[in-house]
Amino acid sequence: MSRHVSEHQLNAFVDGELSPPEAAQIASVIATSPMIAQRVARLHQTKAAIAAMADDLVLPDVTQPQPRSLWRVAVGLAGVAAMLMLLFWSAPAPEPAPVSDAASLPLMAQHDHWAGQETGSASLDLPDGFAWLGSVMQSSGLQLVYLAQGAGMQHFGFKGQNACRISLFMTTSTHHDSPLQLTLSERVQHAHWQIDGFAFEMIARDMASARFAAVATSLHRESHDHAPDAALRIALLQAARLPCTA
Amino acid sequence: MFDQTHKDVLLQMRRKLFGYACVLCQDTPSAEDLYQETLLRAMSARSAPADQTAYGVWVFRIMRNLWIDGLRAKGRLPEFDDVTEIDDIAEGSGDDLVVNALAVRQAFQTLSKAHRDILALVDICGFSYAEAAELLQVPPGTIMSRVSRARNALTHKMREEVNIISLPLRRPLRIRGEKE
Repeated sequence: MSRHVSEHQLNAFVDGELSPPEAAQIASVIATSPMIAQRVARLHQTKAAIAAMADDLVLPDVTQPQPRSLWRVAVGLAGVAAMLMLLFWSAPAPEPAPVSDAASLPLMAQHDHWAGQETGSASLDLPDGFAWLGSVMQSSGLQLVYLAQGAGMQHFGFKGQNACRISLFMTTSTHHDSPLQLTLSERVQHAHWQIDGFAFEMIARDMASARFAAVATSLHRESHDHAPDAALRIALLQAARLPCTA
Repeated sequence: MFDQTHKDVLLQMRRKLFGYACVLCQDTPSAEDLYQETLLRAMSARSAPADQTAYGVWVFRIMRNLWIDGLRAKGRLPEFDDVTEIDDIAEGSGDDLVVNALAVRQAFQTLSKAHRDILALVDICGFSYAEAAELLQVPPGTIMSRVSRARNALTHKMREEVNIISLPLRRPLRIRGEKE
């Protein structure tokens, strides 16, 4: 290697990390040394080849999570479901008044949107087909205070006495049944399961993990008995009756 | 809190993010796990950098920390002090080497974790030395030397041309809606 140019400098030159005076110095060396020029060209080619590796990647199909390991089962599936709903949810903005403006937001954003509102604590009645939610939530000290629908989805907002807020999202789904998946971090709690054509997503922030898990487990068990309920199907189908945008 | 700007940034850099996951994990299922867990952590965070560049560094750092946590749990945490694993490469070796993309890719897979890590951050993810230094929490000068040593190691591997393995990064396209 040239006495005037180090290997580190050549790499930094290729990466565009040198100051203008330093880069000019390297350029002059390259102009007078075929060996250095060849070396720099090779570094450029190597860098380009590495950079191009990402172009050939097939990004994970987050719409169809496939378990491949215990870790994936424990964390991945719940994450995938959340990814799908949070990152790629792009439901067309419905025009009819009864549909919530927040319906096109990712689920976590929808939860935050609702939780951040200064809504009253007046308890709402569960709509037809969803009465089975009442027993679990009431026994958990939670009452329905928010209800929105959009794009085949129902969003229930439940509130506890100590400002605990849980969002339950229910949608129709064509995916296979999946067991209850819990992701319990200190700040965010998430549960996901699918039963007989229905997908359930439960989200909360800063809620005691044990309590969240207890509610999710109870709802999961209860949904097994009620998911095939014709009234529930009709209710969700009605929620899906949105205008075509094409 | 996750907002539209953060979502846009994530969408823009998801290919690089997954590329970095593939480089770290070297097998697609683990990379997908890491990628998805990273997105989940990033989107569920209470607070995140508002600046887009800082946000990108922050997300990649989440991924890298998750990867390290996973290795630590398995008792396979690599030594990142590159002095022990990135040296003894003769400077100037491989000047006569003809570079082709396939050879680079194959040789890349045989590099040490530390080498793959730094080259992925700079070449695949496109981070500057300063950004990579912030992500790895080392001085920028360290990044410069690591990049140089890693590329030298890559050249060395390409000259060896032995024990080259194929890329694990590709997988069959799954048709949307297809049942397995």
